[in-house]
This record gives sequence, C-alpha cells and structure tokens, in this order.
Amino acid sequence: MERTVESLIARVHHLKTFSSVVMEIERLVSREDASLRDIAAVIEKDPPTAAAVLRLANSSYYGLAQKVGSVTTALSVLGLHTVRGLVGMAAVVRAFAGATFTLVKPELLWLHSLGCAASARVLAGEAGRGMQEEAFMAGLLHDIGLIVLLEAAEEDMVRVKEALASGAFDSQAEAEREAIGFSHAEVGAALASRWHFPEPLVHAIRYHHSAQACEARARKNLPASVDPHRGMLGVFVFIADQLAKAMAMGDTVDPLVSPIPEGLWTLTGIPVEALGRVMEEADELYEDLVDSLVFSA
Amino acid sequence: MGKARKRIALKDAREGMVLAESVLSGSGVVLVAQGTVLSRALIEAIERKGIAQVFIEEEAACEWSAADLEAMQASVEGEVAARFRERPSGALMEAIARAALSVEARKRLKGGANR
Repeated sequence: MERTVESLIARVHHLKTFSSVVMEIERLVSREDASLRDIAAVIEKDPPTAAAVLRLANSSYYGLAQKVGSVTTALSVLGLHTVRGLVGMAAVVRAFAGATFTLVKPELLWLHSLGCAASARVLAGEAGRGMQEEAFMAGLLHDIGLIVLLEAAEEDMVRVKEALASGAFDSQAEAEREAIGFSHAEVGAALASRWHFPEPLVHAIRYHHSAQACEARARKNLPASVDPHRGMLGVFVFIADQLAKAMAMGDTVDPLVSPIPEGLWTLTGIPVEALGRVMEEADELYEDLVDSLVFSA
Repeated sequence: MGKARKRIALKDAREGMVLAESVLSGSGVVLVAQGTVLSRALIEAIERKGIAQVFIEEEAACEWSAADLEAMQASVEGEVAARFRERPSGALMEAIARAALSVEARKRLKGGANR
C-alpha cells in the first residue's frame, strides 16, 4: 500500500488528543475579543495543563506572596504568551509520554525539543525582535513529525539512523525521503497545518532542516498579515536545533551538529562574539525548565 | 571561579545553608537577605510566605588537582568535538564549539554532569 503523510499520521492515535487544547487556545488567541476568562475556561477543561499553569504561576520565579489558585489569575500573572508556550509544552509532554518507540528514548527526544525551544527563545530575545514566545513554541514543536515517523515507521527510521551513521547522507531529511518518501519536517508541517497553527509556525516546522528555504523566506518582503516576523521563525529554529545538539541537550535520531550557513546567521543580526553568552543563557533556561516543569509534571 | 549557586526546593533547605540570593516578596521587598545562614525558624517563616524555592550557595566542588583539570579538559574537548558532523570551521561554527565547550566545562567543575 502506498504510504502517504496522512496515512502515517492516522496511525498515531495518541496525537489526536494532543491537538484539541492547543488548537482551541491558538484559535482564541488569534481572536481580538477573546477574554482571559474564555482562555482559562479552555485550559480548565484539561487538568494536567491547568496544573502546569498553576504550578508555574506559583513558582518562586514569579515570587508571589499570595498563592495563585485560579487559572484566570495565573493567566494574568504569567501573560498569555507564556501560557501558550506552557499549553504547548504540556501537550507535547503527553504526546511523548504515550510514545512506544525505542530508537530514541522518548524522554530524551522531548529534552531535545525543550533545548531547542530554550535556545530559540534566547536567540529571538538577543535578536531583539520581540518574538521569543513564538520562537519557543516553534522550537518545542519542530520535531513533532518525528514522533509520527518513529511511531508509525520505526523500522524505516532504524535504517535512516544507520544511513546517517555510515555517512551516506548529510541530512536526516534526505535520508528519510529516501527510506520513507518524505521527511519528519514535512510530516510535522502537515500535522501543524491540520491543527490550524499559524502559517509562520507551519513554515518553521517544514523548513527547520532547509537553511536555503529559511533564508529565502527571511529575505522575502512578506506582508505582516502573512508573516509578522518575515520568516525569522524558521531561521531561529534552524540555528537553535544545532545549538541544542552542540550542548547535547537530550537526544534525537540525528544528534550531530550540522554546519550553519553564515548567511543564515547574519540574518539574526547577532554578533558571533555574543554566542558564548547566548548559549550559557539558553542552557540556564533549559535547566530551569527541566527542573521546574518536566519532572514535577 | 566564584561560588556556585544552586536553586533548591524549600522543602530541601536545611539549617546551616547559606542564601545565595535574597528572598523577595511578591512586591520585591527583601524578606531575607543574601548571605543569611538558614535556621529552622527562618525556613519555616519563608515557607509561610508561600515561597517554594530558594537559591543557596554550593560548597565549592572538590579540589581539582592540575592533572585532574587537564584530564577533564581533554575529555570535554573530545566529547564536544564528537557532537559535530564536520570539524567546526569558520568563525561561526568555531564559536559554537567553543561555547559548547565552556558550558560543558562549567558543568563538570560544578560536579553536575548529571545531564
């Protein structure tokens, strides 16, 4: 039987529940008239997510004297953007928790995503483009298609890993196309657009292995209505993915750092000398997230 | 190296630990100053304020001899180099490798090679 992206996605049952809260929040956030209470109501329908939101609002990082007991109050303390990231994280944690693949340890793959998210966030902040939360979310979700491939086609992914280890391919996406017909990035983008994620996020997931496509988009003068960040999301995720690998955060099918084209880096406007600080900061954020969120979940 | 600091859950705080950062109220008022040695009563008072985590000073990691340091440096260098598909070349990739090295070395010095 001919395999398609859709037929693979359909085989991964635990991802179906993943989408509902995330999608509903994204839909509400995109509406101007949605109130915090509307959004809180969606979160409350999902107890693990609500618990994560309350836990963060009550963490020492925010240092409130009063305990935060309601999701609505937590939303006003944390801000909508952070809550969006959290909702995404809670959903991803669960998607990974239901995983049955063994080629990579699911919890290490999840740590890789978290490392990429932390790095993307710090990079976006350093670039001064005010898109830290979107970058965080994109980093978190960039490998969502990899879960599908590992769950639905693990035998093929074993061959992909072997082909990469033997040096037959430079890029995971290429090896996947050879073995399966499409890459995890393409599957992830299909999933993200099915969930009605914002178009720039879908693009970042699709092209997080293609420096050329990221660069082309970033150089294109897209109207703000299409992409307020002019393709920079993909650029940050591409780089953050490599930084997370360089710092050995978690593990993935292809844990090796690929070279980042200098042209792509130039787009960030960050001087190379700042990298030491950027990576220290990303590591600090990553360790904080790991300590306060993941293992208390 | 300065003194390392570590964030711990308040329930893990013990008498005799030294605060590496002041404990602040929600409005930013200093409740307990940095450098304070924690007592049982103080820990309980912080707890009553609803604060769940504090920063404490970490004991300086065990003494590293020059030979140990050199061995550590070599092993970190090897480990970080192995993370790259190609030998890092160009200002950008070299800077990334250097930064990864310093992040890793800092963790080793802290004795926190748990991840």
